[in-house]
Amino acid sequence: MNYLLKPLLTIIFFVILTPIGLFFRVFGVDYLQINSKKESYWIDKE
Amino acid sequence: MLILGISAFYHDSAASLLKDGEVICAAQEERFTRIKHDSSFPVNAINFCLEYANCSIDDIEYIAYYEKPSLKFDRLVKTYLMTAPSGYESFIRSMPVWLKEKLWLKRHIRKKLKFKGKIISPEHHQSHAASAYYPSPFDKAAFITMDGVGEWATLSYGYAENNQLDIKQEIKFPHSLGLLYSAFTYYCGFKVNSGEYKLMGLAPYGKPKYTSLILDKLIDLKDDGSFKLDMSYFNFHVGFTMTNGKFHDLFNREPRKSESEITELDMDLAASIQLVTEEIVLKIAAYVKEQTQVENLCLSGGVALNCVSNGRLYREGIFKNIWIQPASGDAGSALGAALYVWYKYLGNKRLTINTLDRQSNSYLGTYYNDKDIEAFLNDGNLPYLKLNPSDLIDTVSNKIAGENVVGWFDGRMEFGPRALGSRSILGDARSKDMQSTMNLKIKYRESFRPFAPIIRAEDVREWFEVDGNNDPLNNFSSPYMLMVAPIKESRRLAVDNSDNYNLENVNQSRSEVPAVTHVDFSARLQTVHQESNQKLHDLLSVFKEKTGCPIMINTSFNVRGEPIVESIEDAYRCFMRTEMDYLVLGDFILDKKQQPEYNETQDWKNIFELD
Repeated sequence: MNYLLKPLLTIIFFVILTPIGLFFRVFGVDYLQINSKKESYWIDKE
Repeated sequence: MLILGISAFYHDSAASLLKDGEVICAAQEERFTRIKHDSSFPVNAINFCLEYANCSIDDIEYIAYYEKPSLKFDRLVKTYLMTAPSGYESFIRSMPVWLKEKLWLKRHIRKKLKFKGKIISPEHHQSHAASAYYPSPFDKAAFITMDGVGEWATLSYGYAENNQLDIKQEIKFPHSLGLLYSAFTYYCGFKVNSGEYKLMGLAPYGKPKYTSLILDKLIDLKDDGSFKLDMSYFNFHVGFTMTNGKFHDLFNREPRKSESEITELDMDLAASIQLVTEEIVLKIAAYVKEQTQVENLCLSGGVALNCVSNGRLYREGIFKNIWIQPASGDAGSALGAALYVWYKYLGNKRLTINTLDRQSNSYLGTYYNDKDIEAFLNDGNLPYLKLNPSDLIDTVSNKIAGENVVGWFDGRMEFGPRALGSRSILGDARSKDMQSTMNLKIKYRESFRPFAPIIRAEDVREWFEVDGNNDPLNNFSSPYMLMVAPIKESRRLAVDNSDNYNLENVNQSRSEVPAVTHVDFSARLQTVHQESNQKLHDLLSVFKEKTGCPIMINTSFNVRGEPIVESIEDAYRCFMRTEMDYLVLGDFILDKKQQPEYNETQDWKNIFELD
């Protein structure tokens, strides 16, 4: 089972995660607030 | 009701146990496994807690785990989404552990401990906040938690009153004060998550030349203390290093290799990032004061172990009173999570106290009585003397005044990274050579860091500048060695400061207590209170009667890279491996010269990794 895990994770990373991530970024999703410029960076606790 | 608190799987695993809301024991796993900052499931620490309370896992009603794994996983996946195809190697390495173990943590805990009760997971910073406020002496307080990262939050503040505690605002990953400091720790050649205190110790040698550059390029800092990092200079969110080529180009050098020569650049960077950290903490504290309008502040999280910044925060007087969780790293969150369940989740009342705090001076670990010690000594045919308490104090104070180094193993082990007089090595702070003797012959570590002083609480004003706070009548205390204060001008000696960058400067006598005075005349002090440790207080009193000085060196009972000793056996081994002169075990004293030859089966100096 373990020997299958690495190839499987590699496929998930490049075939699923990478394209979705690129798509998100093209459409301005910024989970890490890398591009945001604000007056204050405090975030209210939900 | 018994509540077991657990922190594990990142660094410094620990367990704690509450009985009807009272902390009865807590310990870090590293002390038992002898692996520094051990992050494995703390099975030994849990067993200690159960044995100490004389109960079994079936008697535990709740287990409190210190963070929410699903929220942490959410952060990991979203970080990969934002950075892919970078981050592949980190993904391949971290995912198997997450998929097999971390995501199913509650199941894992149940299976491992055969636990059938309820498991509650507060958020990482809620656990930190709970560990800061609930054991504090305050009825109401603001709190600030600052660390590398928990789930998403890296810094939070809020307000707590009675049993209620609420986070108001936070700053989220990757924007982290702890990780910014760790990035410089890494770049200056020290180990992340443990070498930060070395960088802090290096700072007084340098000049803060790069403060403006850091504030211009690396961090966008606002007046309210909130900030954002420019992630194009960092690598910690995608890989295994903290900084990248752009960061290295900024300072014109590759990261320093561990154990290579420490340069002026390292010293200046240490001074600069230390100053930037202090400025950020002060801005945050001012903002939190404005938002909460209270006089008391509680601190926790790894950044709260920065005692230079804590000392400055105290002296600036933004808050009248400050209490800092002594186990401010993730170990303390085992305690915080359990307290969170008792007070916040179960809604139990929190009563006002008249003591220093609810942490029992952090003497929460293992205890060995005289019978255990005597059995150990007799089994090994080891020569010793058993003395009554006053003779022991008299003998030890004479030995220390005679420039002997004494291992001091007494009472319950400390919870948290500092040795506070239970598992300590003591020496004469007045001695000119003691600093380098202890560094090179006992601790086997770099000599640029001075030792910490212990001083009777009532003597502190005669030796240290602790009146910086607005209220001159305030009651300064630093029972957990978490405040740095300058030595009084009248106790200082004239020194040659022409070559600031020389690491040997620390060996110059610059005060009446040179072994504990840093190059900037500061000291990381521990105030010893009669009500918290009578025996240590007596020792300092007798030492003062004999020498006029109420101060001694207190350093942790270990060699570099080794966790602090836990058992009698650990203490004896460390005593025999080093050039310590005497060992005190409870009421027993051992003279090195009388001990049988100690044969090592391995080269122990290579067992422990450097920070």
